Amino acid sequence: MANKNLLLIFRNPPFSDSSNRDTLDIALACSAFEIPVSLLFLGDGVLQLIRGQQSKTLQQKNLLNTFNALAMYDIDQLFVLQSDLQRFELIAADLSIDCQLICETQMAKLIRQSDRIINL
Amino acid sequence: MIFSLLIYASQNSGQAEQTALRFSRSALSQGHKIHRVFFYGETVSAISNLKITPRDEIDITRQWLELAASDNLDLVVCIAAAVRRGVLDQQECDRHNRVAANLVAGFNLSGLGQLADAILSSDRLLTFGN
Repeated sequence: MANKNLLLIFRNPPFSDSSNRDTLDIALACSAFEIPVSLLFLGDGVLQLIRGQQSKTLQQKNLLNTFNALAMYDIDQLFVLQSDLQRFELIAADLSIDCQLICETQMAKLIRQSDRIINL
Repeated sequence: MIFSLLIYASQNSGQAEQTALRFSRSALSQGHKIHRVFFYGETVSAISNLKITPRDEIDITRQWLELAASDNLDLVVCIAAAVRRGVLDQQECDRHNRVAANLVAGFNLSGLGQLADAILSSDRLLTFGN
């Protein structure tokens, strides 16, 4: 089998629907199959990375625990648009995990270089 | 070309799954192959024997089965998505000690590894989402 890389795009805010959890599960499964996985947090998707979220009051699982464990799954290609951070008046230090800050042109390149893209 | 399909949309609130079915028919009729159809997320709820489709509406689940019979499709349902929505095969029914299995025969419960395999084994992965 040819080596193919996968880009997963998170677009939805935390606790809105199951798409973030479902996308994260795909990331973990594909990484276990040694598919190189990159994650892009786009638009509202960046909000789920904000540190210190208290999901217990919503009686929901906090995905941040899994995001923080991604390195153990060899998933370290994480991308956030600089313009999205600005839109929400965030800085990189507000995010719970280390992400590469990219511009729209770099995002276009990232998408072009990805063999498979899943955007739930 | 070898395609795989990832179907994520709810059957009841949009026509993405119907589009996926039409795409499959069209691709197969033009000589392409479909390696796997992977059902994930809310779409899984509808693959139940307990679902009643009104007589004057189309039962997409039945249509998948017809296509699978004629073209040997591999219809895989994500097991985690299914059990959390109460769609069980006999094995999961026994494992969780429930009263009945309701997964439509012809569909198979399996893990996300089948999606990973589909990604690796196909020329294109098409997502039919919301």
